[in-house]
Parts: sequence; C-alpha cells; structure tokens
Amino acid sequence: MWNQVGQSLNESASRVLAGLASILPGAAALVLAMIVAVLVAVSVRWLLWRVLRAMRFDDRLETLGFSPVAEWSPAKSPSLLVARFAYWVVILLGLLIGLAAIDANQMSAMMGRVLFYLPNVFVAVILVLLGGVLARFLARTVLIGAVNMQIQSARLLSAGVKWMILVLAVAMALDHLSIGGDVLKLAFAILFGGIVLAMALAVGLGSKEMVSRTWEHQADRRESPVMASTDHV
Amino acid sequence: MDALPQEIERRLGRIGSADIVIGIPTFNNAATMSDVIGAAQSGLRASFAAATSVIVHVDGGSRDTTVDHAADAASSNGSEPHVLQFSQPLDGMSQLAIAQYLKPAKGMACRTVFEVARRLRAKACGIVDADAGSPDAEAIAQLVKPIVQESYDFVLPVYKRGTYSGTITSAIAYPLTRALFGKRVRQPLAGDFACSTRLLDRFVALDPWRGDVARVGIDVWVAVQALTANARLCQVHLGGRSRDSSADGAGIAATDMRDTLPSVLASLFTAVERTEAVWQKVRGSEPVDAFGTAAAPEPEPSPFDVRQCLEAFRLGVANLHEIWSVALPPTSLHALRKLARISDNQFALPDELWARLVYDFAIAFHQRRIGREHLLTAFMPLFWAWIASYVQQVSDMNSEQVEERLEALCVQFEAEKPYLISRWRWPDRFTP
Repeated sequence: MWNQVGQSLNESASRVLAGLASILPGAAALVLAMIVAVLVAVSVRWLLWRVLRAMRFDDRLETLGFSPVAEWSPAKSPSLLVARFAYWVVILLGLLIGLAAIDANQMSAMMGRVLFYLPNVFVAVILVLLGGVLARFLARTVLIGAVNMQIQSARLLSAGVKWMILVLAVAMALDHLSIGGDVLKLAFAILFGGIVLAMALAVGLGSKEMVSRTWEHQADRRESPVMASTDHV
Repeated sequence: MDALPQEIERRLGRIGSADIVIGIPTFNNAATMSDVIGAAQSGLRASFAAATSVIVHVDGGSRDTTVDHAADAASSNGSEPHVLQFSQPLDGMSQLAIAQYLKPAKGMACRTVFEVARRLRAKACGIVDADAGSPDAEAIAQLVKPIVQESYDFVLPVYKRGTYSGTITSAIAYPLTRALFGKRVRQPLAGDFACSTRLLDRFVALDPWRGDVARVGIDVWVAVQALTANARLCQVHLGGRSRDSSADGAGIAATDMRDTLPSVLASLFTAVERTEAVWQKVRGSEPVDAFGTAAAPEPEPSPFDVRQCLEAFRLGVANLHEIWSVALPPTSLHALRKLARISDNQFALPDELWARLVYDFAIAFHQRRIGREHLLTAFMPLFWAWIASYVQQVSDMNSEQVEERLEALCVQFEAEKPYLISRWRWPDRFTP
C-alpha cells in the first residue's frame, strides 16, 4: 500500500514538474516578449513624438478644426496622445504574443476575439472625436449668437450645448462598445426625460411667475443698440 | 454665358446696337419700381436724346407686384428708351441666401445686364439699385455721363447721407479700400455704378458668376475690379438718395445689422484675399476725379443707443475672449479689456486699435484659423464699440468736422498698413 501511495505521489510530482517544465519556456517567452515590447514601445513612443513634433502635428490639427482633441490630450498635446496610444498598443501586442506562447490554442481564440472587437473601439474613438468637434462648433455658434443677441447667460447656454453633445457622443461610443448595455440607455432616458419634465413642471406649475419674470428681464436686456431704422451700408 | 430668352434675343436683334444700357436688378421692389423705371426713361431721354438707350429690368424672383409695376411703367412712358424685362427665378442657393444675405441674385442680374450691353455693343452700362427711395432722373443720367462724354471707365456715385447712415462704409469699407488700393472712393458699396465697354469685357471675362459673388458681394467685387484694373475712375455727387427700407431681401436697411455686417465683411475680406498681390505694393492714397457738388450731410438724430452698444461690447469682451484670441494679438486683447472698464461717457475707441482690429480679422479670415462664419459674427461686439465711440465723438460736430473725423480714421488705416502687410506675410513671426 505504501508503495502505491509513494508511486502516486511520484506520479503527481512528475506531472506537476512536467507541467511546470512545459510552462516555463512559455513564461520565459512571456517575460521576454514583455521586455522586448516595452523596449519597442518606448522607442515607438519617442520616435512618433519626435516625428509629430517635427511635423507640427498639434498646430496642423488645430488649424483643421480638431482643437478639442488638444483639450483632452495629456499636456494639451495631441502628439503626446498619439505617441502614448502607440506605446500602449505595442505593450498590448507584446502581452498577447507572450500569453500566446503559454497556451497557443486558448490565446489564439482570445486574440481572435480581441481583433474582432478592435473595429468597435475604432468606431467608438471616431464617435467621441466627432462629438468633440461638433460640440465645439455648436458651442461657439451658440456663444456668439447669444452674445450678439445680448443674452447675459451666453456662456452658460454654450456650455450646456457643449456638454450635452459630449455626453451624448460618449454614451453612443459606450453603447457601441457594448459597455453598460440597457443601464446606459435607461440612465439617459431617465436623465433627459427628467430634465424635460422638470422644465415643464417649472414653467407650468411652481415657477411660472419666476420663469415669466426671467424672460421679461432677458427681453428687456436684449434691446437692440439700433433704435431707429437706418441704412448701415 | 447662358443663352438669353428667345423673345429677348429677337428684340435685341431688332434694336441692333445701343449707346447706353441701364440695368435695374430688382427683388420685391414694388414700392419703388414705377419711379425707378420712370426716372431712368426720363433721365435718358432728357440727357441723351440723340443716343440709343436700353433699360434692362432683371427681376430675381420677386414675390410681390414688382414685375407688373415695371411692365406698367415701361408701357406708359412711351416706346423709347426700350425696356427689356427678364425674370430670373431664384435657384435653391439664392432662396437660402435670402435668409442670411442681402441682395439675393443681384450678381446674376448684373451678369444678364452686362451680357445685353455687350450684345448691343453699348459704350456705357449703368446699374441702378431699385431700392432707391426717390430716384432722381437727372442723377441716373449723371451716373453714365462721365463714361459717355469723358471716357472714364468706372463711375461710382456719392450720395448725401446723414451723419449716422452708412456706418459700415464709414468705419470699414471706405478706410479699408482706400488704404489697400490707394484711391479715395468715398462710397465703394453704393450699389449703383456705371462702367465702360473695356471694364464690361473684363467683368464678363473674369467669370465670377459662380459661388458667393453671384449671389452676394457683387458691389464689392465690381468696385475692387475697377480699383485694381488700372481703370480711369471717378465719383459723381448725386445728392440725396435713401434706400427703401420696406424692400424684402434687397433692402439693406430692413435687414438687421447682425446679418448685414458679416455679409459685407465677407465680401470685403474675400476681395482683400484675392487682390493680395496688388494691394501689398500700394502706398498712401490719392483722390479720384469728382463731378457735381458735394452736399453736406443732413443733421439727423442718432439711431443708436450708446448704452446698449457699450453693453453689447462689454458682453463680447466678457464672453468672446477665446474666439477673439484666435484673430487678435495679446496687445489688442489687453486694450479691449481695458476699454471695457472705461465708463460710458469717457468711452473712446482709438483709431489705431480699430484699424488693427479690422486688419487682424481680415488676416484671420484669410488664414481660416477658425470657421469664417464664427469669425465674422464674432466681430459684431467690436463694431458696436466703434459705433458707441463714433456717436459720442460726432454728436456735437457739424458736417465738415464729421468728415474730418472720418479722414483722420482713414489716415490711421493707411498708417497701420505696414502692420497688415507684415502680419499677412509672416503671421507666425509677429507676436506682440
């Protein structure tokens, strides 16, 4: 019996050791892949940043009307954003290659899923960028229009429009990435529905007089600087 | 050029040739149409009895009875001069333009008039805005006289205006065109003009009849072409003339300043952009020949509320810093912030700063640093500041003093022209 116990222990120890021995090269490959990935990522980041700076990428982007990108970038530099994005892409690739070395079958399936998901990430990024540009454009339009109409709360209106579009763009991007699911849609429905309902109640019930006074006040302040008809040209 | 309607072609064939062609573009001008046609016919008959004259009425799709009024006036005033009537329905873009811009389809109407004048081999071609309040028969004849009798190429009228009328011309159009092109043309956006065959050929050859020029900005385009074509140009003092404020679309007075200013600025800045090779070589300015007697502006009460103008300016300073900073250097922004803190009765916008503001916006327009519509509409509070300053300065002045005041402004625009040239050529190098 003791012989059988000893044999079992030997066999299990052999299996564990064999298993460990089979993983070790993969683990070593993972470590190596990560080291190489970090080195390549650092090089790519440095190279990209230098090239984009030489191309005056930040200025060109601003000229083309993509200035909101700068606002969201680290140190307000889209070049740095691109460089850091490339850095993390290389790190991620290194990680995937390293993991694939441990268990080729499982990792191939995982990589397939990741690659299948990547277009969604790309579309989501585009949605957020376009949302940013549109938000900036409409916020400016509202700001200038409101100032020219002499509405005192021009900046508030402009900020409201900007954030509404930004939040909507982010929500669309998250929806595209299948993050949040129904919770996100419900949250939006509740939020916007709530705002509209609150405004309707405010105008219709409790704050009727206050809203009316506010509009009268705004109308008074929006008197035109031109009192009589004249030929301006 | 598209073919003219067959009926018009037949009539042109019967007329053969003409000495003078007067074009009248209209758009909802029923109130003044009969008077304008009548004045043109009377003026031509009285001053050019021996010449063959043709009046071309081009309607840009009026929704009132303009066309009927014109037909009645043409038939009731005898067969001479000939009156040709066109109706150009508005295309989709022009219909859109009505909401935003002034004078929809005037450019297209001018194109038709020019084409008729060329077919008839006319010596002189005049364009008369139909939104004239009280057209003077003699004035219409005076407009083409320098071309027929003195061989000038281009004639612009100078109308007697009130101190507070034509603020866009006084503050921007006149000083800017004078500083850029070196000719002291007092009312470059008068709306009426006359040109010779030589310029007519140039206008048609340059083919500006697509895009914005065809719909808006034809007055600026024609004037700038004449200023840059080495043409013999002169001004004619034609007395008073008011615009018909009831006119829809064509009536500049009826439109809000907030719509008018951006469209005029767009026309001017586009002209600045397209003629950069010319104006960078011009230094100083010279008077142009003038006919007639200059009439002193009539005293009139200010139509502007200075307090509201300044409030509009201060609201702009408080909110539009981010947009202005795209166009303006830090020194100008700082000066504007200081101005906003000055009390109403002491407020005065220095001419030097005003000239630089206009130049900086022209440069930003050229460089497309920001959406052009945003840029031009963001100029509005600055213009209110100029109006407030101007109204306070000229309220106690007589007409000569007002003209001296505007002359000083023009001189400052000329003095600041090197600033424009340096920033235009090296926008990144110049960061005061």
